[in-house]
Amino acid sequence: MTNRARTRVLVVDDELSIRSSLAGYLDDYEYEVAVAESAEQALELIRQVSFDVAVIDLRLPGMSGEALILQAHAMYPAMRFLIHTGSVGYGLSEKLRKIGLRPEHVLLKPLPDLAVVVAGIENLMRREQADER
Amino acid sequence: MAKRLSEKKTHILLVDDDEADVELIRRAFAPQAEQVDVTVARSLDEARGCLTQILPDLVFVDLHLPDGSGLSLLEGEQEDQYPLVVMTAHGQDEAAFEALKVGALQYVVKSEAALAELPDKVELALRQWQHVIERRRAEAALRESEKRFRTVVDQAADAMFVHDLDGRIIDVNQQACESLGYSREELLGRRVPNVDAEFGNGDDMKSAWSHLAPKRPITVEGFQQRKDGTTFPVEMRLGLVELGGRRAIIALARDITERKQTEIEMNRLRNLFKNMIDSMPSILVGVNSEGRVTHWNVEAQRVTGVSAEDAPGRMLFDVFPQLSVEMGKIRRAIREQKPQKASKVPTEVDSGVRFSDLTVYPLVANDIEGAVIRVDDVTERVRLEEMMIQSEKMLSVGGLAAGMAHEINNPLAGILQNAQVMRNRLTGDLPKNRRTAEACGITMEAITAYIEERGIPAMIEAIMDSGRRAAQIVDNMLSFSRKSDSHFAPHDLAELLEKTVDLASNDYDLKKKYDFRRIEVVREYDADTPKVACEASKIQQVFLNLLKNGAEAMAGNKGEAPEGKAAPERSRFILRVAPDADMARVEIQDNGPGMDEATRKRVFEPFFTTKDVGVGTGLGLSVSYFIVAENHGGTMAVESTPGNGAKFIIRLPLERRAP
Repeated sequence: MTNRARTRVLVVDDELSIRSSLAGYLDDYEYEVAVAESAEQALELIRQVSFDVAVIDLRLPGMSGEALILQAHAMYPAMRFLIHTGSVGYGLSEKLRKIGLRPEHVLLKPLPDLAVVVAGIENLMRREQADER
Repeated sequence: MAKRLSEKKTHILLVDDDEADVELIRRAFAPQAEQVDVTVARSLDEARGCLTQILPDLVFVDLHLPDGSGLSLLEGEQEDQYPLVVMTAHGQDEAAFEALKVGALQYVVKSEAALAELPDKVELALRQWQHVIERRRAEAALRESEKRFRTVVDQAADAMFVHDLDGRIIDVNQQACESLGYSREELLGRRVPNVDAEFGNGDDMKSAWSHLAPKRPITVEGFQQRKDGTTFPVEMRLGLVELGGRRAIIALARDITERKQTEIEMNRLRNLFKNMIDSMPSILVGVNSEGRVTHWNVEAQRVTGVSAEDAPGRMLFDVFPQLSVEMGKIRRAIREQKPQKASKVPTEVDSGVRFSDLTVYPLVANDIEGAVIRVDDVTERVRLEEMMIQSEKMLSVGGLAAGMAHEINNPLAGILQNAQVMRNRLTGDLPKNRRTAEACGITMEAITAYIEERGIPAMIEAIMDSGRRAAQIVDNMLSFSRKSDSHFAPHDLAELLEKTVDLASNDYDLKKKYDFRRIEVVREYDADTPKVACEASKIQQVFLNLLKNGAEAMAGNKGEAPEGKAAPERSRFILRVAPDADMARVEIQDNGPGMDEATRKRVFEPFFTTKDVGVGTGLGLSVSYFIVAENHGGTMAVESTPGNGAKFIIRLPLERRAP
């Protein structure tokens, strides 16, 4: 078990109902959670705080989720990402694959159980630790 | 030309230079002066003079006259005109015979007594002459008739051969010579030209002759050979006759080259015509105005099982009962001389409903009224049309769903996620819950007691359940637009079907509603069915869907017998797997209540359901349809009539093909 209190998660979604519930859920499981309703706002936060994982919606007003991931990765290569999207049949772009995203990092809305998000974060954190070793 | 004096008087010309004899004869005739008139000439010259004046009934002429023989009166044309009795002296018998030979009727040897008896001879002579005349006329007539006959025979179009039973030619006509290129003399005495009975009854000529009986001529066909070696087809009429007490054969040979060519051409045309109508994929049936069959092509034979030999002459409704409902159209076509049409006429057959397009063309040939009925089986086309409409509906739903999915999924995520967080915070065993409760001066136990009391967890559960169902519907709709591109591998359809039956038997949801194991399953799997490239899970989804639907439909079978119907049988699936050209066919047939035509046409339509609200989404069959048609390039159809169960037919291409 990783130290949850130390895991910092950024939730990016333009829809309040999704953003707040996901943040609330993760908060209940002792993650340190921040939220952003746009990519621009998210970048702002990322510059101030270092996040371990970001759960990012793809369709955002302004800058897209994908652009956000690429930019965040460029700034903080250690940061990990989960994609949370309502776009059916979404396929990972080549760029995203290059920075290590895999189909298992794509979560399709609506999730019948948010436990999969927790499981996803945990997996990423485990890999992080393995990489560190 | 001299003419006879009187019919009553017998006119006699006496030619004699012997006065004593003349006087004697005169006297002898004197008592009959009323009836007999005697003219006397004393020389040939004088006699000829008399003959130019009158024509005597009888001429007595002395053999020796001063200017020649009395017989010279027989020369020329005279011989036919009057009878001539020659008078000779004793010892001239030879001359007398000679006279008879050249045409004298009688002769009299001169003596006093003989001359005195001449009148007695007249009547006899005249009678005899009458016979001679008649015979001569008859002979002339016969000669004339023969001449005419010969002319006719020679000019006849048919070649005539008269030959004996060995084939030796006795007589031929002109045409026989011309047709064979021989002269009459060459042919006479030869054997009848060889007739090679290549066609016709196949007998050789000798056996043909042996079949002959008087007055019963026969006709054979064969080939005759000309002098130059060429041959030509003939039809021979052979008759047995008696000629001079011997049996002979009269053979009339007719050159039938032209007829044969016409026959060959007619046969060729007939065959061509027959081949043409037989090569039509349509049923073509000719009928006359009475409704009797006149033509019957191979397709008509195939469909009805009535052969082209049996059908003609029979009533149409006997041999083709399905068409009897269209008799009105047939009559109208004939009456109005206008083609009549009917499209997609349904016919119930053992294997379900088939559709036909029907056209009735009026026919007027040689003043015989009738019609040609053309029947085209358009079942496949009708089904295809239905399917195309179906596919289009699906695709429009798919397109709509894809566009809507994102918009719907986000609010759904909002509902589901918030409900889950609420549940977690109210009922979850989380440190954060306790801390927050304590901070509020309340215990989790109290909260739990309260919400349980008010039924909150069940409500949250209901929200999540509804949300998940909505998500499922969106997902199903999305499958209409999803192009599957993975997991295609060869599978044994019978095996997949079996696995699905197992799955259905153990499906908890299914067991709640009806016990699948109570349903009899009849399996008719053709072991020769090749494997099919498909996505196993998708195909199983289709099978499961059909089995569930069928089981649900048959659930009513255990009830009371519907009014006027036999008690329902035990519920039974018949599952069939068989090869079907370059496809494999799976049939899932139930013995449930079936469905009417209106329902049948709509079953694959998205959101069409006959189930109660909330029981079915109306997407099961349309998703199945989409999987088969769009993902696998196959076809899916259903055959059903009310009361007769339903049969779903899935055909999947063996090789994967672009839909």
